[in-house]
Amino acid sequence: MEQSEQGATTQLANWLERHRNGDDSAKASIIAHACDRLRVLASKMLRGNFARLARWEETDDVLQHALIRLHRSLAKIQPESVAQFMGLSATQIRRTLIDLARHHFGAEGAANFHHSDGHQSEMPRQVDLQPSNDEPESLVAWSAFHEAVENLPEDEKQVFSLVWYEGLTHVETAELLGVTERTIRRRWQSARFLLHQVLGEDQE
Amino acid sequence: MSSTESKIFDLIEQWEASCKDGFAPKPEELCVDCPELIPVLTRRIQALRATEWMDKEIVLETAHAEPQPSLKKVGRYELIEIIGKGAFAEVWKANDPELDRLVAVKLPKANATFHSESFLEEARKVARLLHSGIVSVHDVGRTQNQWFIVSELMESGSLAARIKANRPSHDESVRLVIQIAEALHYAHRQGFIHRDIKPQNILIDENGNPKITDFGIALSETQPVAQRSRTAGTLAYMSPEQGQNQTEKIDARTDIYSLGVVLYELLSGRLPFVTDDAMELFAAVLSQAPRTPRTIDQTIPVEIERLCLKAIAKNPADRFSTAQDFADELRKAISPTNQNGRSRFGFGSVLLFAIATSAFGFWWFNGLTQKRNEVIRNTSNLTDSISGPALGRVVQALDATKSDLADLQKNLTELPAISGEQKTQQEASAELATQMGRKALDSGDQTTAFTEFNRATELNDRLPAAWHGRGVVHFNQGKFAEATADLQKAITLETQKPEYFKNLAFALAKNGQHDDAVKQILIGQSKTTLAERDEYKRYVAQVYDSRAAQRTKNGFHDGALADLEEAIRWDDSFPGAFDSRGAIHFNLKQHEQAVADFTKAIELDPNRHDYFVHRGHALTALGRISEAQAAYEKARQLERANGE
Repeated sequence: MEQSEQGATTQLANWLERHRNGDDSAKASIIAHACDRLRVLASKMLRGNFARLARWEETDDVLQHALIRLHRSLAKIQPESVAQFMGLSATQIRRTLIDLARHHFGAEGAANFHHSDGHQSEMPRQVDLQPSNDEPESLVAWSAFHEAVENLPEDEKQVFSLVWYEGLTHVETAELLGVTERTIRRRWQSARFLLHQVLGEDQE
Repeated sequence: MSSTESKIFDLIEQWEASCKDGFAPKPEELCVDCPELIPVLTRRIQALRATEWMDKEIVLETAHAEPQPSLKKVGRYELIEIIGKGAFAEVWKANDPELDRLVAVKLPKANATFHSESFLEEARKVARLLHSGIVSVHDVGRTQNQWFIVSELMESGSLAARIKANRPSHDESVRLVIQIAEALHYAHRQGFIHRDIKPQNILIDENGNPKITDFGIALSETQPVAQRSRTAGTLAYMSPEQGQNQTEKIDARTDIYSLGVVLYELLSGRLPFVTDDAMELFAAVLSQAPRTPRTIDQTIPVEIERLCLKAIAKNPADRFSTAQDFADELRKAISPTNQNGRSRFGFGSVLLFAIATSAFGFWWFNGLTQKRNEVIRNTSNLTDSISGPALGRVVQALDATKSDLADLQKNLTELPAISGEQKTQQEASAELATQMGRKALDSGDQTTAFTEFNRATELNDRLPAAWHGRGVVHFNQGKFAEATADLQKAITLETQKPEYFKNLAFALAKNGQHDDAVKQILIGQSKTTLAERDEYKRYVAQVYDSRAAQRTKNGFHDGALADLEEAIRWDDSFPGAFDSRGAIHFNLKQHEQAVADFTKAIELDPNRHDYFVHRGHALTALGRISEAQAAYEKARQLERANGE
């Protein structure tokens, strides 16, 4: 992962320290961080689909609902460790993203039945020229991606969750999980390879 | 972790480290001491490359920075100079190195508050507007922290500049407004309302034709137009309903109002309401009747004044219902037959014209091209002047055909279409020129074909076959942008000819607009008979093949392969796609696949010597030398046979 600078390391160290000292406010910080990440990832995932959505609900409303749900579900959890809590937080982020994709844009999504947005009805068929090995663009593809992460082996899933969903650096992840940085790099690499295999096969 | 896994991981770490240094070693180079790991390492590296995006930092895209002075590129576009500045964005002249053409790149200013997502969505929709009277959007993209829009570069300036420097004559003004109205009508039919029609948003191309710009983009700026434009300059073009922000009342007639104001300004040299005070102007737009244009300039034709005032009626219901109606009424008003009392065509000229027109028909059948050309030249001058040398030249040209007049008399009865009373002088001449153009095109004479088609469009700009013909010649001459514009014009006039869409598609593909090309072919296909459907599938395949060629040239092999897959999916009997795919496999050293593809291409078309040559190369690479030799031998035989 590229550097996720702006003092995230310090922040993480701070949470770890506070948690060690029995300070519950670390949890609130991690929830806030999870909400930030959700906003960022949802924005990435929904890119190009916001305008469609704006017909039903304001984009911010949708995110707001998702954030409230995330906040509630995380608030219920009694964390045993920062690592465990961040893992759960990543899982919640992922599930919220899957819900967002499915509910608002999936095959049953209301957006698909709306045609007043300049939809080109004269086109006999929409041609999708998206290269198969690129970042997902459609929400169906994003949904498949999140689900593929869900199905990764435990070690790979844990690392992928912290790095991609929580935005931690490899160094931070290693510190959090108490393993070497090399192990993180290997699991990160392995996760990407497995995801490519699964998503690549789906596309063929 | 097994020792093999550990070894693979180390190799990948080495590969990643080298990549960071700017050098990507091949698996073969990394596995010198463990060649058995080459296949697995190759697969892993491929996977890592494909999932590179997962490794990128994810940031929230919010503010857009102004391009730094040092920034010379956005996306692939190289910025050259600023050519326009607005309140929210600036427009750069830029070079597109991939297609080797100049384009305009619009970048938001740092202080502009845009909703980037809806902006992009809007721009994507605008990109679907294909009309010669609308500035085309070529591309929409974003760099790390800013979006940008790439469109056709128009360097000749805006109508605003034209009005300031050299206001067009009444006739030219009306013609400009007709063209703008037709482009607007096209957009309205696609569901777009411009909402900001004003001379600054109408650019004039090098041939003097107007093109509407900033279509729909204004809508994406977070402030509504009415709020951000409370300046006297822009408010003047705003309809009463727009001024009052009655969004539910805004429709095509809103644009008709603004265009009416533009016409008013063109004709009279001033705006309907003149005041420096924005509030006063606002009140006037809402409730005051404008000064009639003829009180400013008496030479403005009465009928044109009436149409202009109708367009700027306060109540939308009192305006034209469509922009096309506005255009049609204007056209009718300036047609020679409608200029009662002030007609430049007297009885004598009408008679002469009848003879000349009939004579055209006769010459057409007898192939007396030169004489016909001469008369066409002269009769077209009639539109400008009845007396003087032009008339003399017509008589002279007719004299030259005296000996043919007897035959002409005989043929006249057989030419109802041409001698019919319904057609105007220009229309008949235009049709004839179009036929001549087609004949020249058939015989491969592009120069004559162009002259004829061009003349036809000048004589009658509503003749789709003429625009289509000119487009085809432009295409043959490699002028793809011009071809695109012509063919788009033909399609706006005739929407049912599949071949127009097909030819437009090929022009678009040559212009690098492959997605649009595919769309056009599919529209064309929807208009074909069932028997022709397969033919159109081949065309789609050809467009993908063409993009694959471009992508291969740029080293984007994966994209090219994807295109060829798509081409084959559309038409699995298209040999060209297999040959192209084989070539990419060959370049990627995937020789087995290359042989398979070349073999398939040969199976589909066994008479192409180059397919055999390609197959020979791939077989050589695999060490299957005797087979390769056989392929080369076959290629030689075919080359000889085809040469003879």
